[in-house]
Amino acid sequence: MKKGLALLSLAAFSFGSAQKGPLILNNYSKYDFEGYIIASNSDGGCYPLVTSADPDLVKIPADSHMYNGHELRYNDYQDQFNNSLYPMAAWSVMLSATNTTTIPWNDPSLSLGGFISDNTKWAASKFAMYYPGTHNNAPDNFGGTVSIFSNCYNTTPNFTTPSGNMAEIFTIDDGVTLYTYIQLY
Amino acid sequence: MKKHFLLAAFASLILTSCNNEGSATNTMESMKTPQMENFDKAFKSLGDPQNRPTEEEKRRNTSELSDRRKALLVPASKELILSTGVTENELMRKTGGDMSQIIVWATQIYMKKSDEIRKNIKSEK
Repeated sequence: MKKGLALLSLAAFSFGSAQKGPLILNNYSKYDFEGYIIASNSDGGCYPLVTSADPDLVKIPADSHMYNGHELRYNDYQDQFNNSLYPMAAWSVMLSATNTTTIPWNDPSLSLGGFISDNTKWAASKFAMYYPGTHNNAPDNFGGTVSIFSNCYNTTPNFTTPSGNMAEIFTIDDGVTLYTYIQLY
Repeated sequence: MKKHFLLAAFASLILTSCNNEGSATNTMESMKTPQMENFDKAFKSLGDPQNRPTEEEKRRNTSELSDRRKALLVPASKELILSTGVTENELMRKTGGDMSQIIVWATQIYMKKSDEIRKNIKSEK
């Protein structure tokens, strides 16, 4: 416990990457997406690291994007539960490599402006793609991990499969709000 | 007889509610404006072969969308902002022509409109 607190105060003191904007996932591909949604303290020490936990894998059908209103949109850890098409009932929070807790979405520790929210930002997704309505892998086993540029990950922000499918994560930062996009094509 | 009548009434109720559901799904897309459609298309176009990240862009030490690819989102973003009644002058004054500010502003408009449409559809049900 003491160690946890020390880590908390250290992290709060030194870093502060802040969950300062929404995550939008557009699946423009013709395959179903199933994957983890991950946020972390990517600019400072990687922890806290927050991962989707209930459900652990978010399922986003083929052809789900802004225009048909089926995109995944998470404004923050809490708002998403009532306002997203893909509600996340709990998040797994790692404060260090040896300290993991599953926290319900409405727990005060996940609130906007709280320690976890203030010290994390949307960072990555580890996913697989399937033919619609099945668990048959998309061509070339389209899937993997995309992550924002950071020392916390040794994966890339984008990749393309031999048959031309592509996955990417990118940000658009106007200085006030940071939008993070994950897109599948 | 009475029982049949009730059954028929009940069945027609179910039918009507199903019909309404059908029209509600139609409105989700029909209520979206052409500017919203173009905005989504611009994001989709980032996956077109010529618009994918170049080797040079991949080597950058940042996840921020490159200026070349941001530029692909700007025309549709401007269109969406102007469709709300904002003038070209106001747009330039507020954003200074900064691509990120234009795209973020348009995204916020898009999400607000999308939420309103979703709410309308819910209240119609």
